[in-house]
Amino acid sequence: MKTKNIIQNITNGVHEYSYQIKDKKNYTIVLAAFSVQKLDISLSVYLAAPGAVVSIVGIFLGGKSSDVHLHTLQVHQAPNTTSNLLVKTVLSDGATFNYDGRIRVEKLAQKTDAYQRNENLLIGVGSHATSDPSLEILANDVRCTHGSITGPIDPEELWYLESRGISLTSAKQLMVEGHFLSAVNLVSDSQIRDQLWQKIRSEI
Amino acid sequence: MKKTLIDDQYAYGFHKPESYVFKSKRGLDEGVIQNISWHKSEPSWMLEFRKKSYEIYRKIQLPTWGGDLSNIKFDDIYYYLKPLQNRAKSWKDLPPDIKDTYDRIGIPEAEKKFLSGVSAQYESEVVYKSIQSMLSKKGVIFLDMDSALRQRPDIVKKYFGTLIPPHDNKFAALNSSVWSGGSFVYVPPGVHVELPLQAYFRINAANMGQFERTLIVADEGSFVHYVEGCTAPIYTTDSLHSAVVEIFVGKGARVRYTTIQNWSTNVYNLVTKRARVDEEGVMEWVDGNLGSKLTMKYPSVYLVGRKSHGEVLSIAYAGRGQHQDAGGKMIHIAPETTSQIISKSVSAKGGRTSYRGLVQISERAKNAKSRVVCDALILDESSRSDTYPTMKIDASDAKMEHEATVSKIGDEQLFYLESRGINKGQAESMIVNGFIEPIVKELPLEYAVEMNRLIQLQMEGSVG
Repeated sequence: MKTKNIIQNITNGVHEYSYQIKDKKNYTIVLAAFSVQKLDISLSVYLAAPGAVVSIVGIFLGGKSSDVHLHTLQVHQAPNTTSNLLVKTVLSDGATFNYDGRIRVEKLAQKTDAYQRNENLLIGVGSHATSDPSLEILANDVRCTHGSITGPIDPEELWYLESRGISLTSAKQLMVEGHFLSAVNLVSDSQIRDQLWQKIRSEI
Repeated sequence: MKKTLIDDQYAYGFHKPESYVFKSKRGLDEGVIQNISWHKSEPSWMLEFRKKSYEIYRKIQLPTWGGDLSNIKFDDIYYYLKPLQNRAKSWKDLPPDIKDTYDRIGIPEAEKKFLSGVSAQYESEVVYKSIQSMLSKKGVIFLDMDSALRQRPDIVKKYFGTLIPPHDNKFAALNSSVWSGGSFVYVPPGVHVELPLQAYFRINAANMGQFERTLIVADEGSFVHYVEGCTAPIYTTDSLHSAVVEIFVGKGARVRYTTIQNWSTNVYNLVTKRARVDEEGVMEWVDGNLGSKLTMKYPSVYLVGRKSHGEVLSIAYAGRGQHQDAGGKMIHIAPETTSQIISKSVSAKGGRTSYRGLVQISERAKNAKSRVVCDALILDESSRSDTYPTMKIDASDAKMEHEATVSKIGDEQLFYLESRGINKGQAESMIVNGFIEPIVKELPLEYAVEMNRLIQLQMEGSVG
């Protein structure tokens, strides 16, 4: 099956994206934003074709005074559809991230497999994260999971890297890169992956 | 094997003739409130509190989220019933029909098992109560709320309505204006109450709301386990149950509060439960919701002292026509506080379960940790399951984890059991019992047995 990549590199402002998936293809939608001030993104994905597969990747790096709102909606309307959402953020020095994401599985959409995950890494002081995921399941033969983790860099892991002779700054950089790894890897196109890495590295 | 459908034949569906000394008129106005207060010969501050709450109740709107509340007929409800003139001193003094009611839900057995105190609520007032001498020797006070107001106004006035003020929500305001019965527990510093304190609640009149009010104060370093179990007979019209439970956990104290809610499926169960935990204290809510038409209940823990810990273990089962909207809230406002919410829900035969929860970690809560796990099983096509957790994290060194899963019973698990010669119905109920096992094992034994039996009973009906 062919994979189609849709990339949105987002700048300040209010953005609304809506996708109707009407063919049985693999789609990857990437939302990425780096060092933005005020940002409000809504993404809705409707899986209307049986067998459609969608991956949604969110990568956000927020620094001082960035204020990001992200709303996502995964609606499964047809049977045998799969959606997989992964939103990763690094929030430093007073960045704010508000996320609400909903998975809705309509009655007809049996054999749905839906996943939603949000991981926020907090660095420095004064960062805020709100995570508001929700599931609404009206079909019964489904598997739907969501997960959310918010926390600082684990000092034990940092200490481990330092004990291997890696400086504290490089260790932190490695941890941030590692945090984004699984999200970037969801993108099948290697050129796009490289672009994303370039951007991430230049920001940290 | 004969199949039993709990919806068709309610397990505890008997109905005793009503006997009251006083029954308020239908509906609510200031006169009814004055009447309640007069019948209870309350101090004037309580009457003022009731009146003020009623004013607030009239101003607050019904919540627009959660379940469907539009069918509650507030004007059709009797807000207060007084069943007997005097409280019976011992089991023998109880009138035979009330005794019979309790016999059928098994209180004497509980008594035989040396449960430390039984306080049972028939209609709006506690009519039977026995406290073993051990409790009073330790200085533990275990009273119904009305007696506590008379005997210990000092403690009651200090805590009553301070954690859940009438402004909190419409049903807290309603309860504050018409409350009646409920339990009061005070545990002095350092005292461990080894056996669980139990209270049985019952409502027995059609269209009667039950508004009990419970206050538990656990002083420094103490421990108490309070168990509240409900079974109610079936009625022809909708009935409302709206309780308020306030718990104060002192420094280093631990309180566990266990509820098995098994109202008949025409009861609206709209309850506000909240605990405040001081330094190094522990609060645990164990919450089982099986019955009722609609339950909206989110036991909360306010972690205000350093290193305090909060826990919510929740099971919900929604069958035909039922909506269980339950969950838990953890508010971290002190450093090094930890919390955990584990929720398991099962929906079948068109039932709907919703997990709704909140974890809030404020900037002051340095190194706070919280974990929320919600698992849901959907047993058939007509049922529904929702998960609405909310996490607000304002401390950058806080650790927050959340996972939720919704699925049906695994085909492979079923196949395995069926290949061992177990029929589908039994296999499904085994899997469901295994699914809720982590929480059931936290229940006192007799409740765990009852829980497993109830699930089995409901499950047998679900696969025809």
